[in-house]
Amino acid sequence: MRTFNVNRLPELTRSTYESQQRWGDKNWKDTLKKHYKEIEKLLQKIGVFDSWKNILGNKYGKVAGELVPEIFLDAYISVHFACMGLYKQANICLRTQLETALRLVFFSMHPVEFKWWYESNEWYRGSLRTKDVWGDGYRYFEQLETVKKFDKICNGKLFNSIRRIYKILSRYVHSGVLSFQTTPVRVSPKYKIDAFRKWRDNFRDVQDYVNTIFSLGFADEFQGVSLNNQKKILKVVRNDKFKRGLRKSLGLKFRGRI
Amino acid sequence: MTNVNSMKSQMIDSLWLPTVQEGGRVFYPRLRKNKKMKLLTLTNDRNFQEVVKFQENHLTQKEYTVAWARDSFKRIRLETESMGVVLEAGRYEDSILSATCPVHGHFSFDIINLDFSSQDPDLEDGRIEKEIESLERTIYLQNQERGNKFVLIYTTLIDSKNIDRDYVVRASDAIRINEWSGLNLSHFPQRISDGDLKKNFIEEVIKKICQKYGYTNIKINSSTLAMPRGQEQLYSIAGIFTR
Repeated sequence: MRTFNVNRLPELTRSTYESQQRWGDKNWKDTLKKHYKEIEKLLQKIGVFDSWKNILGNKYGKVAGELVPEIFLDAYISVHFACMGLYKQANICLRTQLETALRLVFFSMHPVEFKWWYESNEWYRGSLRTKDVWGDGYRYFEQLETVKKFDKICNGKLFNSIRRIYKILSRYVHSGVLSFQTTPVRVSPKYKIDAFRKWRDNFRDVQDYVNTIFSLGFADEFQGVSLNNQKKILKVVRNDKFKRGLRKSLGLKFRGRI
Repeated sequence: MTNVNSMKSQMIDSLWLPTVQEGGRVFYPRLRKNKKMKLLTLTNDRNFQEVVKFQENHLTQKEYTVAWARDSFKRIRLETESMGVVLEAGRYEDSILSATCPVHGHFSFDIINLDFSSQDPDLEDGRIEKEIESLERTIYLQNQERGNKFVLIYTTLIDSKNIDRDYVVRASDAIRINEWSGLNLSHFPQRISDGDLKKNFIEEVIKKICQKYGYTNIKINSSTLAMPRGQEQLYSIAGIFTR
């Protein structure tokens, strides 16, 4: 078919295409009617990944160049899925966003492992018997001096919070009944305020964690950028305790609330 | 941030399109159906009329277009328009100076449209100076990739901030070229505050930078539009360069 013509599509394809077009459009509109201001704010949060790409680009060229856009797009598509009423998929995107962010911090100091991973070598599953490149649990990140300092100031463990959100998001990946996309009375996606709010909270938390991890994992680069850029990034972090922890542990010297 | 979208079509019709049409006639006199000129354009996700206009006038085609977007959101929007390549790496004027800038691999071009007004400019000190610095870097790359002829369009917002002549000279002289004795702009004041003088300065700098790399200017025109409710002006200069 050189020119697209819906009438020439086979039966099941045409029916699926038309259904997707219709409910996609309807759910986007139903969501935006109620939440357009919130959605704008969530999108503004992910705009900060362009800043991270610029901050990290020179020093970690390929690693940052490959992973930061992916992190951005996971968040972007999460918004898209949520606006389509696909809350399960929207939450799954958040888990992959978090994982890719952690990989970026790890790979920035491990170029050889990045090359292996890039070539689809899963060495870590063999001898290390772990499910991800950075090893067992989050011990690698917990050994970083900046993370230790941050934990001390915040009087808590950053990675305990990350474990918690990861567990929540994993329920969507492993399809726990409560995270099903379908219900006994309806199969196709629909705007639901409760599911939207749950996703929105997860989205905000994940952006908090990713920006906190980056600020600590790339502390030298973060400290080296202009005050305006530092403020722009900290503004994304909604959790006041994290914000305070970052300012104190990284010795960021600017006045006033962000 | 100033919205210049509404004024862009006026600029295209009065200056950009006639210059590119003439460039097409000079560069490719035998190609009558479509000139297929390779275009680099700093553009906007909601207003990329120049690409459409150049295409409608058989000067280029979408697949010969390299579009530069200001951020990832704009890039994603532009990617839905099936242009050849859409690039995004922050501000062009910062990015082009770095060796890893993604546009480097795409030179040379027939049309170079450096429309900084489309990139949501922050009206801060040193803005025009940095734009000119990046313009020279663009010509440098064009020269390196043996681009012997091109239409150059430079568009900016002229506001109340002074232009620092010495910054422009220093930035240009930092790139050394054999038999080029340096950028001589001593007849301009060190801080240029007058609007008309700023335009003369920009025009002279562009001509001299192109000269530095061996390009002769066949034609150069400019246009100024007053911004609604403000002191700023939208200033655009378009020229045809060959060697």
